[in-house]
Amino acid sequence: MTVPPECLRGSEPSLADRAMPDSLHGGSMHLVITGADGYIGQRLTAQAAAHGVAVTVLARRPGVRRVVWSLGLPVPDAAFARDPVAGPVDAVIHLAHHWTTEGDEAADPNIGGTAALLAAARRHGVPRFVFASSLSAQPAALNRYGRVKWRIEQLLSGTGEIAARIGLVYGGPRRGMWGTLCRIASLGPVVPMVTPWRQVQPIHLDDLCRGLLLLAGAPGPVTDPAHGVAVLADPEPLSFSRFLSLVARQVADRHLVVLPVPLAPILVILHLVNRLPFLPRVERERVLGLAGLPVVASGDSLRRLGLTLRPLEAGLAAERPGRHHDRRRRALIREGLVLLGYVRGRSPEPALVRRYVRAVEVHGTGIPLPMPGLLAGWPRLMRLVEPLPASRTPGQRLLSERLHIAALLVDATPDGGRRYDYRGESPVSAVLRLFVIVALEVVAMPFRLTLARRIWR
Amino acid sequence: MTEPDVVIIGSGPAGVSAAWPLVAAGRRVLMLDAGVGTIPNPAPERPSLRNLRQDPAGWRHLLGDDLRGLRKMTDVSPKLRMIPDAAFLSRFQDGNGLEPHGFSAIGILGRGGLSNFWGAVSCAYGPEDLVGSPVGAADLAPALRRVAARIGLSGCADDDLAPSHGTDLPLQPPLPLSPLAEALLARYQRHRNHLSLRLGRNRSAVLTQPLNGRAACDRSGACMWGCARGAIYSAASEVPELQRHANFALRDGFVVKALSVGGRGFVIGGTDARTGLPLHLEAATVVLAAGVLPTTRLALQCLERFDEAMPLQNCPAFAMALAVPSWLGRPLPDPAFGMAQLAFRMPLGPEPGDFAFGLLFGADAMAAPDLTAHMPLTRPGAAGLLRSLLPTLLIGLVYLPGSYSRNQVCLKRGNERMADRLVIDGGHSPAFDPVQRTLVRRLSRDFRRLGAYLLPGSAKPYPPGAEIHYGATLPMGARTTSSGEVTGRPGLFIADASALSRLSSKHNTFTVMANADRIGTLLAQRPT
Repeated sequence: MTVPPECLRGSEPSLADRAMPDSLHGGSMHLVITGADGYIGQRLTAQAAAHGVAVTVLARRPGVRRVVWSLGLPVPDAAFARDPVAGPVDAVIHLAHHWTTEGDEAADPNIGGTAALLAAARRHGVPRFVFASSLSAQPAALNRYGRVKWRIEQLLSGTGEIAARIGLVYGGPRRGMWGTLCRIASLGPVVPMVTPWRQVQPIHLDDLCRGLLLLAGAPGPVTDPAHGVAVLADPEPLSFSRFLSLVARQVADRHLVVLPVPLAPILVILHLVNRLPFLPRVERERVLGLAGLPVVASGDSLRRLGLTLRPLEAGLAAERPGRHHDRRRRALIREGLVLLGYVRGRSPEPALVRRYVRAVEVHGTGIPLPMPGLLAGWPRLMRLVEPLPASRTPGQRLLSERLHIAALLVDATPDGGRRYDYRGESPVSAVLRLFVIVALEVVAMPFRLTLARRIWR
Repeated sequence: MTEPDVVIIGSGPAGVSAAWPLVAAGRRVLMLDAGVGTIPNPAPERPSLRNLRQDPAGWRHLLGDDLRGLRKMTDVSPKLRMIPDAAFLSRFQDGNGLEPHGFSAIGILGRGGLSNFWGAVSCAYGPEDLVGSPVGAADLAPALRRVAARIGLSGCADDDLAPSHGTDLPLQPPLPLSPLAEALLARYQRHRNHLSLRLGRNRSAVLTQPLNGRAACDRSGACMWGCARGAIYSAASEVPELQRHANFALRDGFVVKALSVGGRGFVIGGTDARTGLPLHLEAATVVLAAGVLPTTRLALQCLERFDEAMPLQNCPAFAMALAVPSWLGRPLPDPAFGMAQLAFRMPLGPEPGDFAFGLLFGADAMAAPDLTAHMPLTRPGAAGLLRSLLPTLLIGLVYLPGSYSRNQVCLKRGNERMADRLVIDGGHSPAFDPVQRTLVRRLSRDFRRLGAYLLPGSAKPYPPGAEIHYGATLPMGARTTSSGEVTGRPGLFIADASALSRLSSKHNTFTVMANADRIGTLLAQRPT
């Protein structure tokens, strides 16, 4: 098939597809690729794999090796073959799930498939098996998904067999539940919702991946020894409607009003909507899943793993589409202006702000903190919302770290240096000065105690 | 060098001190250093702290060109902020197969080890600190004198703290005190009979007169950012001196991973830090001076003592801030010496050696944000408060004896990809909390009589291990002989703080150097 050159200007996958030679389709091709970790190689390998091409990568470091398997098929021995460089298999991370809605739940293919995979892992002496479960895993969960996950969890019995109960995953490519939520958030301005007061416990995709890798690889006990369950979710739940309006604000830049509606009519509407063309499809199972989420304590699990989750707002803010890098940079510059202006008492010069942005990019997470607009105009207002050193929520801790960076940067400028150039004064005026400082702090304290926690979640 | 007589693992203060007597006796010594190259010192022309703080380009010195001073290093001493590459610290754990739980395992896998960032407090263990040790004060005395002459100690021989620091040692004149420290010491002299606190000048391995090519302290005040003149002792500066001797060789980039019996006596397995390729070496005599945690791991590995929990001591410590209100409104003096000015001790119980040891620093020689970060005030409020308080402020660091720690180490067998690892479980003894609370009260009372007031809420304990005083895993008289030789492994010697019988609250580096010198001397006297 030939493609007119003007059609190639776009970047939609369909065009790329059409530009692909026909012989690539059908999955009969097998390529050997070298340099697969490079800039072109990474994309090429992913694209080839997405087109069903079998790829063998020759690389200096061990990497991905693909073995054909699907839930319900016998597990091939090749899956657990020793790697010539990395040695035997250390852990299985079982994420695969086959969405089912009908049939006998006890005979769900997910259960049988996991049992087969688990048996194969045990047979090959794999010391760790991490099963991706869900917070909704309960014997009487509202949706089939939660009930099936619970049944599978009961298969895990040995030491090193871990069920990772995962919260509401957000961030990254807009697929899965996250994709659905982004679509719902962009429907607005009013979104009807079932039980919007339901508490959810989000976790960013990258944090989740870090957590799963820690569960698979960290030495020593990674779960409560009594039962092999690890909870990967924000320890501080928030209501689903609040979460969704945050998604709308941070990702789609819009205000969202959530209208509570009873479950039954929503299911009927969904049924109808999903039949109409051109409208985004919303899975009934997913809605039921959200309606039935319990709150599960995750602090212990995270501590045991040494996993710190990024604050929700910062995580969402980094998910904005568009020229991501520029947006992030601009947000960091805004943040630098506020924090440096605050600790210094007057607005910072551009070189100092550049140094701040560099410091946060190199030694911090590089993710800008959401700054209320009022602070951008009056950085001194930060006095009323600065967290106390003992505050423990991730957002407050992150802000304290940034303030520390800003303070050290200002301290190393002549402005900051002048603070060490104290020429003395009469003891009375020194005492008065201290009194004024302490009085201002006393006035600010109640605001800090109440506001900081709300703003820097 | 063909066939060294002795292989020393580690190039820190203990390794260097063990090497000197062996080299002097003509033994062929091979020193293995895990690092490649040296950690750079600040340029000699670096301006004083006051000038740095007024210079628009001063941030390049205070935070580093690459802003490394802004690295997030929770619970690590601010001195370590200027370490050029954080990998020195992280490699220390990975490279040495350490797995700490609730314990800050800090070290530097590089030439000179942690002495690159040493606070240089030098105390000689005396009879009270050596109770239960087969090595007495008299055994250590000649080595203490030799090491003192070699590295250069400055201090005072006749104040109340001198007996704690060690007597009968060659000393350079003491470093000048800040006016505030001077005033506190003068007041102490008048009130000392009513106090249980004992206060005196600090004793440091900092030169006030030039020695061996190192310049004297010029009181630039920027000690926390490294010494530009080499006035503060670092073992890294002694390695080139050793290298002038034909019978000494340094093999750098040799990360020792395993030690076992075999070959000519011992087989040392490791990896090349540059290439990652495996290395292999045989030696009849091995001196372990790699720092307490790596040394313990290698010794247990050689003894094949797996899955056996044994005690590790550290000195539980806390920080506190003291203000002298009568100094309010006085101008801030020029920075002088930027580290500990005064030292003090306070008895804890009737047992000999049961006392707390502390240091007082001038607050103006630190970065103010490091102090304000702990205050419940807003940043601008804290900065304003500190500006007025700085002339009155002293920062105290207080250490307790190792008996108040409760840590365990246990060697776990590795597999084909993971080396054997030393699992460290950290903790304080149950006695620590009540004793620390009482101690804070008593210190607060005695300092109040000297006109210095403890700032409320400022006494904060460090997490176990964060003070980096470790030791006593392979005590002489139990797991090692009095000459430092590991029981059951003739030819294997322990020269670092692992061999101490117990940790005093006093800083142990100087004593450890003397013990290493003593062990090296005994080893040199043996027939080859």
